[in-house]
Amino acid sequence: MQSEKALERRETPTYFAIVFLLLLAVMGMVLPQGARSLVTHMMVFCILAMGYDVCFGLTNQCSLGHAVFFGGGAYGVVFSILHLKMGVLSSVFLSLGAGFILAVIMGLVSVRLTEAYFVIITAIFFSVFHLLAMDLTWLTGGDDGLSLQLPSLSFGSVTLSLYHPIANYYFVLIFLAISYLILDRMARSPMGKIFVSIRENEKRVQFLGYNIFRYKLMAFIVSGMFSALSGGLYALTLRYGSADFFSFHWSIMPIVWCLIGGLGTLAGSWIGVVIMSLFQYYVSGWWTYYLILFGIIILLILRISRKGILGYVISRRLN
Amino acid sequence: MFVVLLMILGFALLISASSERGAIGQAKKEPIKIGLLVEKTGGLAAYGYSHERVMVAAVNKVNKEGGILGRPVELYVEDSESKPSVGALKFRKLVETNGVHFVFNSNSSGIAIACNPIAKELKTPYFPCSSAAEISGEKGNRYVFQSCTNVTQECKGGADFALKYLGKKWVTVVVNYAWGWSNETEFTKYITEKGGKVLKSIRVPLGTGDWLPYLKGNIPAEAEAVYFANFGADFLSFSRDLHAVRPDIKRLGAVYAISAQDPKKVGIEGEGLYCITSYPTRLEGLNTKYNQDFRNLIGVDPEGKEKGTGKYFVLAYDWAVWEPFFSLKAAIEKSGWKGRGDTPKVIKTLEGMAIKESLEFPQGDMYIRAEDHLAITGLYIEQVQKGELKVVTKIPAKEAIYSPTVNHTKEPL
Amino acid sequence: MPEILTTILFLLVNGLIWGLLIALIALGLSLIFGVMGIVNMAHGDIYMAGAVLSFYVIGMFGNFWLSLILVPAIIILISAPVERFVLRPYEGHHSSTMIATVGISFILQQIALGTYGGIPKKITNPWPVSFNFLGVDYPGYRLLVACISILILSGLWLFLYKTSYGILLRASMQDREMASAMGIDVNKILITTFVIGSVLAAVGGILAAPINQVFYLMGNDVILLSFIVVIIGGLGSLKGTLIAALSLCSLEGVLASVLTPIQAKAAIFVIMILVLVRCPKGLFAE
Repeated sequence: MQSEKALERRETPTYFAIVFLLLLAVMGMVLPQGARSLVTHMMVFCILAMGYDVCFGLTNQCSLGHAVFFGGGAYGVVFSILHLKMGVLSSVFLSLGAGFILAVIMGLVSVRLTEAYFVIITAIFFSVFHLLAMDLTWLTGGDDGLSLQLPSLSFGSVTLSLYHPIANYYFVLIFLAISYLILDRMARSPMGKIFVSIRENEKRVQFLGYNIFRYKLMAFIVSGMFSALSGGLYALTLRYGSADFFSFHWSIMPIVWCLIGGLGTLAGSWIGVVIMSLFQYYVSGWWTYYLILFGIIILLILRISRKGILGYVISRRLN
Repeated sequence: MFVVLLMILGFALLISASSERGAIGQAKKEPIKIGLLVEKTGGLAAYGYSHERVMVAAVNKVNKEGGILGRPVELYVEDSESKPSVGALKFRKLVETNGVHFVFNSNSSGIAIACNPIAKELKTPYFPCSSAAEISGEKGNRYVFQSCTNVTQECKGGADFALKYLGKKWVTVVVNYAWGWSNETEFTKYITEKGGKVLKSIRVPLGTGDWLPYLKGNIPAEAEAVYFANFGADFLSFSRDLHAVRPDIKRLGAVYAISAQDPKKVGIEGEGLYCITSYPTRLEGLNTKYNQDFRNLIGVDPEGKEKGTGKYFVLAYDWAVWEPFFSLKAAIEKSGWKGRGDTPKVIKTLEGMAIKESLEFPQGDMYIRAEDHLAITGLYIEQVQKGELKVVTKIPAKEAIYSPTVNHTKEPL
Repeated sequence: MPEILTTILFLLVNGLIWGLLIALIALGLSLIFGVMGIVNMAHGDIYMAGAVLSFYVIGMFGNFWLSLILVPAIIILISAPVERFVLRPYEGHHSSTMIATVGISFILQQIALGTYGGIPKKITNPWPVSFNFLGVDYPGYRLLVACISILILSGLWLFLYKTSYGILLRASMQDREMASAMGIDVNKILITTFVIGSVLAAVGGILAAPINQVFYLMGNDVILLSFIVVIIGGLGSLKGTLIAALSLCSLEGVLASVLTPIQAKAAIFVIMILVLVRCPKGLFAE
């Protein structure tokens, strides 16, 4: 019975994710241009949200420092294209690498701390990075930022340019799909199950002989890498990087997305992204103070379910 | 599962409902659509308030007079939330979803720099209103027309006055980000070129309530004057704290330092302070018929406050939202622009366009330099005298011109 | 006295005063978190609300000191029902409260933007005198802020440690179930705590308003620092919060005299990280 429920818990979000991805694949071709740009941006944020969910949703480490990875990944792309003259794909891998390094540094220091202390130390890290990014303008462009000229991608005889909106869209979508598949596999794997066990009862896992710090660190690193990936893709989509990518907004929004969408479900956070982005894009045009509505929605959703919309759906299905 | 599917369907429908409004036939009455990317919320919310009203007034005036080439002008306003990420998305929304042909404004250099490449990509002329010099330089392109004066012009123009009337030995005090640093660099460059000396450069973080720690003990006794670049709340703190440290020192502020401020509330600490401005806040500083009519149309009183609400307009930048709209109008009429395909014609017409002072151009004579699209205009120096801002002198355009750093005319359109 | 020493003394006093204000705000945060389990991300916006409301009070009555009475009264009237009817369901679940209060923060900020507007405004110095002490001209208002803060902090200490209600409150902080089992009216405790915490933040805003200016986003300047101070001081330790606030703020002030402002800030952050690594539960954790 227990294992059936556990399986059920993963089936619903996976089902949801696959439908979502298929819908995205189809929409890419039929959407009008404006909506396509919006959805491209949304997909980048979905990767960030999902990456954050690994850290918070799976192992219950509420980090306030993920802006470091987002900004770090973005600048990974910016530097590789601007200074190292690398290609688009290699710059993405460099941003993954940047995420890895940043996560190792931050993780080694932070992961040993628990709960509120972990939250604060990650917040301090992000503050330091934000400060440095704003200050070292010769390196980062500071608040003004740095714009990029993207080289084209070539696969043998085929050349693609990300300046082509459809190419940009599917480029991001492919990364979203691959990221989901990888993270979903990870969640179902033994390692993933240990993550969830740590979230449910840390002490017991420790008594069972596992080195929980190592697992928490691994989750943190995976989370950081995918967050950096989203930052890199964002820099490519915007052809721009600025110190603003290290700002508090990018640390707090993933938490909002995950909590209202579905904590721990990986794909649930995408619902949060969709709601926020649609509000910002459309409602802001009708009413400048749309955030009041969004704030009310946050309160309502959290009232109904502490695990967000998808979490609510899952709990309904399980009963 | 049903619920989830319903949500996805709703999402899809909502997206599809945003289809680009296509042209309704080829009727002559097809509107010219312009977009305004404005900071209505966020750190720069103070600017967005007046910029929006000024643009609305401009569009209303033109529509009342029959539109441009007989076509009505439709204005779309989007909030950039003072963030480059949102600004870039809203820029795209204006062009891709709303179908605008031209985009005006953002006051934030970061947003402008993020949007410049998008303007080029979407082949949409863009008129940002932010003063980073790079917008007319390496971070610009042939579709971008910096509509306000930039820091280099302002410092170059102000340096002569500074040396002649304020002193030879200077200290610069700037807010610690790009705009502040540009002011520091450019002012130092031109003061030194003309024979003065900057003894010390002080940088203070944005939003610092307390400037005493940075000023106390840091201003050399022999310094005669301070050049400062800060604004809003920072300016008020700076002015109060500088007065506590060196009440005798002369002060010259960068453009915008005292915009949106009530000079009466600046108090004894602000008395005697000078400020460079591209447009005087008070009517008496530029008491021409054109300026009176302009101010009536946008609804400000002779002190620069909105009639009715008493809120201060950012007049130091508002002119740069009003005037480029009319430059565009002139360029459309001159080139006979009919649609997107004619955009290169409009751009080429704008390059080098010379304009005389009028109701549409109340700031003064100006021209748009062809190589870097910079708006070449004159500047003013104001002083706080007995709680009121008075124009002390006018700086002609030729004193503020510098050699262009790029040549966009070489770019293919 | 040599110039450099007077500068350092000045910066030290300045930092201490700012530290006292942060301590007020952070103590409010600590109480709210300790007793109710609410990670109040809207705390900075209550600080802002205090400042904005005082701006209006001064506009209507012309008296700054009146706002120290009127504004807390308004805040009590608003925060009590908010706790009872809006926040109560989330209490105890940290991340839910964090995001719920983020929602409230959005709402508060946009209301301020819509009514007060987006232009930062100044409140005139209510006590424009200076005292010369050891060759340094010190603004009288700031010294007054220090006195008022110390008064409030002492009052708070007396309340929490010397009155029976205060002791009940602290008991709830330690162990709510036990407190409830002992027949304490938890409902009243929750409302009272939230009200006290909010009033502390609002008063911090009122006092800070003439120093920094009143802007609808001014809460963002204090929220992170307040949280950091609460944690570094040690969760549940009010003494820790106070000491952390005073030392961090004065240290930053002094460092700013020898390093650039950015370096000073970064140095403080690094020190914070080192403190947490060395004492993972904060300085005075209970």
